[in-house]
Amino acid sequence: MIKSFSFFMLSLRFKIRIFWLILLFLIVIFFAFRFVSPSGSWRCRQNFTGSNILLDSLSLSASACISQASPAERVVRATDGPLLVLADPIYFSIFSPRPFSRAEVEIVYRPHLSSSTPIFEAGFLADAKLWRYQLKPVYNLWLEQGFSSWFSLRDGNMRLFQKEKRFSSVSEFLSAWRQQGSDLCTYKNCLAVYNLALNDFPPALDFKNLKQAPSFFEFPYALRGAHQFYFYLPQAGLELNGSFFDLNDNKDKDEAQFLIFSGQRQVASVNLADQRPQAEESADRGPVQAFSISRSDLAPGLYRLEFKANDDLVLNSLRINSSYLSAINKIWPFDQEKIFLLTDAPYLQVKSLDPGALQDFSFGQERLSLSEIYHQYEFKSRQGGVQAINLERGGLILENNGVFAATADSLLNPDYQRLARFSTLSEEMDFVLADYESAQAEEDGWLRSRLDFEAGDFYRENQRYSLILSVPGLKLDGGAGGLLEIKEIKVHFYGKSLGEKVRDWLH
Amino acid sequence: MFKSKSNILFFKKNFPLIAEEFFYFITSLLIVGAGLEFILPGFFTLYFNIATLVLVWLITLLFLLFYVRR
Repeated sequence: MIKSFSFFMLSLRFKIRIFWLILLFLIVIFFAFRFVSPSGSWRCRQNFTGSNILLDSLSLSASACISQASPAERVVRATDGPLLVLADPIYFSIFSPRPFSRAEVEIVYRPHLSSSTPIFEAGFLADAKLWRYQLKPVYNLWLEQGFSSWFSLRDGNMRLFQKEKRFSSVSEFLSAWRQQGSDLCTYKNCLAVYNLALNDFPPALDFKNLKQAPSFFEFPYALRGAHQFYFYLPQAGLELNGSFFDLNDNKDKDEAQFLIFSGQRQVASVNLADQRPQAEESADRGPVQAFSISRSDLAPGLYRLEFKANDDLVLNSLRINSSYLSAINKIWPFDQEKIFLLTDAPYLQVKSLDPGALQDFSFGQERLSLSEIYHQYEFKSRQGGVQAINLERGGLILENNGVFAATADSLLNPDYQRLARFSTLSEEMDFVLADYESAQAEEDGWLRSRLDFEAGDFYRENQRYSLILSVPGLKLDGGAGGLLEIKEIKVHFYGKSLGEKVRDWLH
Repeated sequence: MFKSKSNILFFKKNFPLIAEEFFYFITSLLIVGAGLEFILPGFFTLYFNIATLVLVWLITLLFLLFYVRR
């Protein structure tokens, strides 16, 4: 009897053990399956309306594939309500078990935007060194409501707004613009664009009007950190030289790259490794390092120069065989003397990271003052045209959607007017062309927008991508007005399926 | 009714065994989780709450130490 009883017990233990071992094995298989994602897809979803209060309060829920929004002070979440975005930008980190080549982001939201905050964009971190995000439009107040009296045409995602009805299709307009460019305009710069590069189109300015005689120009100020420039070669061949030095303030190695683009095509690159003996974080500047780039094969035309570096490197005495050299969208002068610059944009965003750089300065006709570091100031000029900027010394980071030049003769902006945050809907504008998909309306005023990204080059750290939601101008102090309600975010990653990977491996 | 009564009796009689095997299962799950977190930080915690698992493990351990007598 006792023998049969112990056998029964052994048998039951064996059965239970087999049961949980199989369960554990299935859990491991589940994780392996999710990691490999044999279908090549991975989904994350976060719904901000309604929650399991009990689970959340006891911290019994597992962590989310889409993290909480940060910084926390820029968002508010009611118990059952949507996420309220009060200031820009906010960030989410999105978990993925492996890298993927494409991402689709779907956002359900209610925008409460104003003319000061007309644009809502979202995107992923593409370059961690330069902290550059690849953004796509979610909602543009002007394109949704601002051109209601204009004639609107649509071809897929391409939208054309015409002040007067001159074309009956988007393709007809594009064909005419390719052939005639701004000859179609009554006034200069009659075309504004949004989310378009227009690389295959005539540039916004006529190169025949630029100086064709060869000459050299030296940018008179030292510039800190990464910068991009437009320059124009009247004749074949590039001669570019200068110097830079390393501040050795941060802990990272300070490599530099010079990249030259013709349109979107990279035509030259030079890498400069950090082999300087000075230690990082030592504030020991070390000697100035000279560089020279000479390319006789570059044809005459417009180019973009990118100096890719972190904030420890200062570019000095930049000299080029071109009359035109303009910094694109951002300039950070380093010198401690007076600085004079010109910009073709009617507004300026200014920030200082150093209390020693706080100063009074002038922009256009206005006299302005900076009193706080790490605070972005925004100034809009009441007058159009080129604006002069007079700084008492360097150290301020100046940004806008135009270009900055040291002299009027060296100012060059081949871009079309962009329908950006501070754009004025000028009387001289005849056409607006945008690559923009309108939001889908849902019940109760909610909107749904879908964005597609090529995610192959996106930066990923600790199995997480960084997603940004940006409404430029949205601030906690409420001066600009507006807020954003987010009901749901869905992210769907796509990559090669297991079958495709096996096929690639076999071939 | 007879079946549910016999189920209750079965469970009462074999509860220490079930508790012991459940403890081994939770321990193994935590070890698997630690290994997964080492390889892919954040992956295991997407589906399991570590704090809850550890709490369950502790409760089961205390139960086995103080309640179950061989």
